[in-house]
Amino acid sequence: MTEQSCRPEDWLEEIVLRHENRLYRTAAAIMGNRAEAEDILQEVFLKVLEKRPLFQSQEHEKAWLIRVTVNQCYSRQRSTWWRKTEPLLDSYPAKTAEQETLIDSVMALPAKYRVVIHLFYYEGYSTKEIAEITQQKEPTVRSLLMRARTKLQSLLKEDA
Amino acid sequence: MNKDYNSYMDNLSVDVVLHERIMKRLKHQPTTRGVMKRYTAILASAALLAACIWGIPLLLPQVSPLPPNPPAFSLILNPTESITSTKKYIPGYFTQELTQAEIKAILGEAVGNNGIGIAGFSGEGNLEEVTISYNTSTNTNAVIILAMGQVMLDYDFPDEPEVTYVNGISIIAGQWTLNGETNYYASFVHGSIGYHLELMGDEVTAAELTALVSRIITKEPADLSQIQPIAIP
Repeated sequence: MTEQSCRPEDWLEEIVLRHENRLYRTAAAIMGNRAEAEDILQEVFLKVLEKRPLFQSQEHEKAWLIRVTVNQCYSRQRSTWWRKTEPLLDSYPAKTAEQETLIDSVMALPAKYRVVIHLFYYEGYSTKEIAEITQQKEPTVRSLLMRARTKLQSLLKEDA
Repeated sequence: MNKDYNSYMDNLSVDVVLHERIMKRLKHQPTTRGVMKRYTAILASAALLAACIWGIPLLLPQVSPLPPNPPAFSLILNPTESITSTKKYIPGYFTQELTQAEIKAILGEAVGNNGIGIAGFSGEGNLEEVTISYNTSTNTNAVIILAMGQVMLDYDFPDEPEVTYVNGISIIAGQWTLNGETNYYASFVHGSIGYHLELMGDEVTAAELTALVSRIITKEPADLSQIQPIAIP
């Protein structure tokens, strides 16, 4: 995005429409429930309004928004006001038994694993890019991803 | 795994109601000028309140909240790799705001008068944890979490964390950085109460954390039995 209209509601709605689903899924994957994901999504777009960043490209815009989403999720999880509500699978039931087992197992992982799993598998980011988004070292991300896979495999085996 | 996960995630989307809610919030977010105008009044009131809070005690006989001597120990600060979430499901969890009297009864005079406290209870009304947040005189934001037994730590250490032993109390302390801001923390069990302290701010120092730890461990542990739910929802 190079030019921004003078009226924030014009360019903001474009950004919201372009990214709301992606960011909602990221927040849902990290927070593990619908209500928190909805709150996070609103906070992220309010950040855009507040910061009014100038993006060099759509990729830059996407990465910036995902980074803000991840940070907002972490902040929310650190906050003592954070309160768990119904699990994601209750709000969005799985289509098959296999899918339910998988999502249940992913949601049982700690949030730090869910972040890398989601960004790697769903968003298709490389470990280097995830390291930039999550402000961690790349070897840390690689190690998290490896541990997440191992943990997930053992959880799925337990369920099998 | 990939296919099932992606297909599930594709199914999650923002509905019209949520989209409208987002747009409504964005459109009704006050402009910077409006915020400044509103904040001018708030800041003026806050300044007056601060003058009362800090000014009046100066006119009264002073009882210093600081320990008479600087702490005779220094905390080992563990570098902290990342933040994770503590996963604890508490059925029927609810919270209740603490009164200033309750806050002072728990932490003493160190908190001053600007503390905000929340007690979290399980659905049966059992106290799970107490969280108190306040600003110190150096404008550092302090958050203190207390729980029966131990406060669950939500940090990842690159190696086994080093422990500082003070008067028979083992303290795990460290620092972590998020968005360029350094935070200091310390966790320990004093008596049967778990404490977790966090200090955040532009000027925050390890010495400030050490002083706070010292202030807490040189006194009797907090009596949390007095914190009871007013009503169970």
